Amino acid sequence: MSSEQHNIARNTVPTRENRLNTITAYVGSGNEIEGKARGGCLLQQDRRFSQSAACAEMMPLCNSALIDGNVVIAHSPVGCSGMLAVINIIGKAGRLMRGMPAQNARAISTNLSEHDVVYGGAEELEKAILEADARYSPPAITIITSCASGIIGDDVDSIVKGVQPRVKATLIPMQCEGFRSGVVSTGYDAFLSALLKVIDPPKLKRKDTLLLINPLSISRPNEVEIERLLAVLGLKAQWFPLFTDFANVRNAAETAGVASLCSLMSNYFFKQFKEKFDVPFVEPPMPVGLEFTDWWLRDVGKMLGIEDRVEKLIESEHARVGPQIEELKAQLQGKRAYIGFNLEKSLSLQSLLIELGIETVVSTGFEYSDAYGLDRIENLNARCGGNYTLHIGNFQHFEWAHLFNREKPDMLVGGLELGGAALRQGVPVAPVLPGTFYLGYDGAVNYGKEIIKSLRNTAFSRKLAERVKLPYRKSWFKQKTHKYIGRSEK
Amino acid sequence: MSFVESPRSTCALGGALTYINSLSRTAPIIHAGPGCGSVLTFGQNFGGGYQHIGYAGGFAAPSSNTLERHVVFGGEDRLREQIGTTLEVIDADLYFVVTGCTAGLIGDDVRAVVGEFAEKGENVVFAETPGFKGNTYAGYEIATRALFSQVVRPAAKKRRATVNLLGIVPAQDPFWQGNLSEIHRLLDKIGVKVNLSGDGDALAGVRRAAEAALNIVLSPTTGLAAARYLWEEHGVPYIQLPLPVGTETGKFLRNVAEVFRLEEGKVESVIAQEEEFLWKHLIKLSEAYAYILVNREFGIVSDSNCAIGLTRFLTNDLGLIPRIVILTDDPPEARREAILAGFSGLEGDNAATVVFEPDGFNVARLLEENRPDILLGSTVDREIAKKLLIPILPVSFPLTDRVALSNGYAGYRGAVNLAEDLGSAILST
Repeated sequence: MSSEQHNIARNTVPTRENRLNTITAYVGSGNEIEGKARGGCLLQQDRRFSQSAACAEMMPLCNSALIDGNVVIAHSPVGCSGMLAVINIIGKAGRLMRGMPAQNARAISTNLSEHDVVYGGAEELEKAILEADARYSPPAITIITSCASGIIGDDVDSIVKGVQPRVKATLIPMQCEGFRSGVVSTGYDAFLSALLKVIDPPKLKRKDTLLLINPLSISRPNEVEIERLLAVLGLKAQWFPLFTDFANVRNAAETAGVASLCSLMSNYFFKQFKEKFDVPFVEPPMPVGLEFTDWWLRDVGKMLGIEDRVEKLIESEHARVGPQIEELKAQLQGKRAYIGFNLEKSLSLQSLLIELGIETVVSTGFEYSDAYGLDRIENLNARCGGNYTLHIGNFQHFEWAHLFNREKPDMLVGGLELGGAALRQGVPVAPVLPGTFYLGYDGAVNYGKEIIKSLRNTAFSRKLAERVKLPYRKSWFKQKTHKYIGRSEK
Repeated sequence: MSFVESPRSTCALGGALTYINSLSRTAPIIHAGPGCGSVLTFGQNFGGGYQHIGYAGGFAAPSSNTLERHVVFGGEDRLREQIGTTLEVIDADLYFVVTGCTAGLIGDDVRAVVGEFAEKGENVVFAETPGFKGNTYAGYEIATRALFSQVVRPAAKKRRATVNLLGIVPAQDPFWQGNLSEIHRLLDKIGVKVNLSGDGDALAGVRRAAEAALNIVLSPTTGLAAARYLWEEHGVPYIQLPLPVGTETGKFLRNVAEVFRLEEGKVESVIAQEEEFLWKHLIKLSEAYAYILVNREFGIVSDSNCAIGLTRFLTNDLGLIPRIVILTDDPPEARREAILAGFSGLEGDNAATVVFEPDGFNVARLLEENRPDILLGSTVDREIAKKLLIPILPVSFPLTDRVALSNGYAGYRGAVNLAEDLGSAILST
């Protein structure tokens, strides 16, 4: 089989590996990665030992399930929809916080069987689309591809074109076969760029409205903080595309500009959005802590020509929260933290921790690319010396375990991905979960207080760790963390 | 199979993984795309009442994470490398290779690669479990049979009154550990030893599975693959006794006792003692029974494994009325008659309407058409329960609004738990 046959989809987005030289395997200091990146010698390497990671299908499925009114069809065996249990939890919390009634994700699996992989799954997909339209009359139906649908060669684009005239919903295929990319955000590209199809050419321009991409891990209290800051600047926020409906997606190009709360996810969409609708964009880091929130606001201000107003806002916010941060710093100075999220979030939280006087010993990211990594790392290195360990891995629990064991940090600043792993090694968790308020100036103060709370009673993690038996050989902890990074596969 | 809305199970690979996670010191080696391990174990963890299970489960599960080049050029070299490095890094008694859709579709010769390690004396086994082979239950069937056929040793002699328990799928039944431990406790009490309990079984025990005198399949459908293998290849007979709840448990114990010709007096005294415990607590409910439970028509949305025991307890002991039972596990056609037979012989003038329906939309429609007064279902059924203004006790997968650790609904103690939880669900609505 040639690679050509597998790329049957004409709508396929380029992988992050190909488009941005994104890497998913690296362990070294902040200074080392900065030097290597500048020298252009930061290359993707494979792991000879690897563990459960993430694929490009996850984000299209999870995110489309959170657009109000949408029905998502996974053209796949039933297991690919395994994250639905988690999505329903995030969805319920997110909807209730926004005053929407709790509702299960409207999600259908074509449940590809052995028969389907032999004879093709086109008929099953067609039936599922017609039924989804009949059941819910949704404004749109997103259709997610999978490893199985890709390898058997189901041409989802053609199937969709064939069915479209028979349904009222706009059909939006998202090409995201799991094997295509080892980088989760390739899935974000597939998700967001597919939505371009339903954005209308603008009939008017709303000069006071900023389009803002909201990743699924950022909950309502954070949006409220951003809205508060934008209001001072005379701006309105239009959130896109989660927990909003398709009317809100269709008019997205009427906005004056676009920014994101996670530039890592929106990187490809912004370029396409600009090309198609000429909406300007900026890609500052996630606005966490004073320095990075300033950065975010300044970039937005520059894009919209309101730099003066932004400077005034920054000045007054600093005057207001600066003393509160200093108070927190007095209590947190000298603590050591391990940060574990996607890179964009990790680096932004690292910036806040520096302001709180906390030493970051490890910063983990699921992937790295110069495009959304280098300027942040340069900034952080200049501020903290750059001796922390930067770990890049598409998950890879054995390397996390190794680093927890080596560094014995006072806390994990992390979410659901690393939280359990930290606790089982005796490291208390200062959680950033869907629901945690940590963005902007008030979020910085709030999250600082959360960290203090997390350190008040560490009984659970301590007692847990005494009893947990990790599955690793003792010898693993004596090796270098990067031992299995690098090639030998024939 | 047909498309399914709001699926209530994962795929064959998910079934294999959750079974592996129930074994002692056993590491899976997933030969599949990069997302399979996380999607399945994260989903099963959260959907199974927030249980992180497995010696090397969740993100710790070794996985070859095959990409496009492996799909194009084959993934055997990558698998060989991954097994080798897993042996270096992970300290397990058993390494269990399971495959996903990519390996299944491109036709990697997993048997040959695993064979290279087995020949060197490594404890590596495999099962071919691409997602398209079926749901979680199908995966459990494939994995158990595969494991048994690769490690079970011919029995030199049989161990008297010793059984293996089969058919309860870990986490897919969120109350699996509580349920199994109750059955285990009762068998102990009547003098039956349990070799494989289905919870924390070690390689040594699996090797000796053929020494058991009997396999008990605790389900009308799941667990048969391994039981049949042990019968056909090792001559171990099996009986199928769906997971009992309440006084039904007496029948279960008598059935087992009969096979082993245990002393009747001893078994009857155990049953009497246990029923004493059950009714001691149910008597306490009598004062408020008319207020909380009387004349309630119940609906159940669950798998065939659990629905029979729940229906029999609610009808035959608690005196409720079955309105509709919806079975969501999509069991093989050949098993459906036997499953339906499990609902016969109910107390009073009662026959349950039993429907096989895995699709979430259709489940909701059936409940609208057959509105019960109380629903036992999964957390996704909360939406329709709210619409119908009826109380719900979530008991089945996906279970995301309860935490399930050691609680169970099987046997006598489980029946008391169920009465408590059901009453609480009704009163808190």
